[in-house]
Amino acid sequence: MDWSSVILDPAFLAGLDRMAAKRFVQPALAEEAAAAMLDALSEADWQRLRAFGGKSAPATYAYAVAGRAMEDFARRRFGRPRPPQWLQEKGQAWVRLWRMLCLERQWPETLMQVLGKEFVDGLVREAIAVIKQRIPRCGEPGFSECCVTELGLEQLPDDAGDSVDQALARTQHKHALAVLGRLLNPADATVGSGPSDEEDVLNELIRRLALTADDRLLLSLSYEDGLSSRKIATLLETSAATVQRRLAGLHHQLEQALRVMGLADTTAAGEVNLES
Amino acid sequence: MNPETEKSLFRALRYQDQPSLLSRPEFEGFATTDEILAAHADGRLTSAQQEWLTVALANSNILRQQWVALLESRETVAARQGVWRRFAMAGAAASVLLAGVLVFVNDPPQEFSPPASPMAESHPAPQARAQVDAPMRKQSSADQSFAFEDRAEPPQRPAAALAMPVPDWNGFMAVYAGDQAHLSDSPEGRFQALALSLRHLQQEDCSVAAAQTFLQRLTLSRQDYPAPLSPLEPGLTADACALGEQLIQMARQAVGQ
Repeated sequence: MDWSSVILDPAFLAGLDRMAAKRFVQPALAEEAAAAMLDALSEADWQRLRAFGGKSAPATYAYAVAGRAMEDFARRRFGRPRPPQWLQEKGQAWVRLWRMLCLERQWPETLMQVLGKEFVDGLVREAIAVIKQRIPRCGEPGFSECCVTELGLEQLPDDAGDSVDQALARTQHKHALAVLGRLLNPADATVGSGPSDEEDVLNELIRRLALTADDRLLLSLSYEDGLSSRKIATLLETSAATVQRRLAGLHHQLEQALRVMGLADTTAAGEVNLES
Repeated sequence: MNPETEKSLFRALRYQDQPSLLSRPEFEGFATTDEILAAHADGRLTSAQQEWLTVALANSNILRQQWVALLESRETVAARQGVWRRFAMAGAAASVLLAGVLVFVNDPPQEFSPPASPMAESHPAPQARAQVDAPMRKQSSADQSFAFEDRAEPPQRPAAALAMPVPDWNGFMAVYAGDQAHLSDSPEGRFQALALSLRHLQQEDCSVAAAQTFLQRLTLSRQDYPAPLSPLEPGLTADACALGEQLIQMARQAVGQ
């Protein structure tokens, strides 16, 4: 395979620039990231691309490898400390914005301008305001080093971020159990019926909803990544109306399942506070 | 239901325990997840492989991030593919509008296949898409009077769209995306009502009743904005869906999405 002709094709290089510009809103940083991707691909006579087995177009494979190289670049350049617990509970969208804002020191106004439309309305603005208010040293030079210790966080092993995913999953599981505990015992929001009861209820919900793989991905993109219906529609090659319709259907299913199980949630928005 | 309750539960419910993709027999022969993602983006996974990858994407934030980056590297091309496909769906009725919009569309690279999405509403096979695209290209190249055909980069607004004030298109898009419409007896108000009826039309899967309302409102807005909306000729209710697709494409182009 003549990788140099694939990678050095201006159309391919433009794709690398697009990826970098989405990930790093500051032009100088995006340029640096694109150069780092190119370096990673060409390193040791295209070593990283040698696993190509012909199961896709060569350029597509190279983009997939480049995407991983871009995150490697971000980790090398800015580190990857564990996000604070309260941020993990807010979901991946907040964690992503925290990383861009506090660790990578990307400009808040540009983040709002470039990413505002990709997220649910107002999410970027709200996240930036809350993060800056709760982490005053966010974005200061050396934040990564100083605040890993300062916030009592631990530096993660070099595992490409898998353990961050696992930590998020555990946190969210725990949080869901706390929510179910509150629904089981509405009189006392601080005491559940016991962890096994709540696990049982969660398992019963899983059984009743019988989510498909598509549903799960849609939920991740919407509730975890905080993406707008329009952005999700672009990624999934469907219409925003279809995305909204499916999300509304899932909301209805969950509501109905909770009602049937005698766990109807009657609290209004803002009444729940499970953060410790 | 409290939105926080809903968020917390859905975030936990989206996970499904599964072994790593590469350890599954379905992915025998794949050396890395990069290779799996690339095959997925090119639409070359089997449905069983696709299913497992979708679960993995739902589970892993890192993998999802890589997937999104991969699609974004080719977003412009993908968007163009989408435009081609939607026009193909719209059929002959699109031909008039096509002349107004082709300025933005380059011929897609031969190598590119659209990403396979489990939720996609249509997945023409590459061969089928080539057949679909061919007459389109023939038509556009045959139109020698169309001087701007190849000026696709960077995207420009259609002349038709420019004839309407941009704030109207912005209001249209906001209402279409779910904002409350400010209905009034004015061109802007009627145009927002049209956005509302378009949203309703798509939510109702193009039911006859929704189509009739949409066509009535389209007729009124065409009187308010004859130039930009002239390609959208209200006809049979059966054509309303295709007209709606054309209208939303015009709106997206106009606001630069």
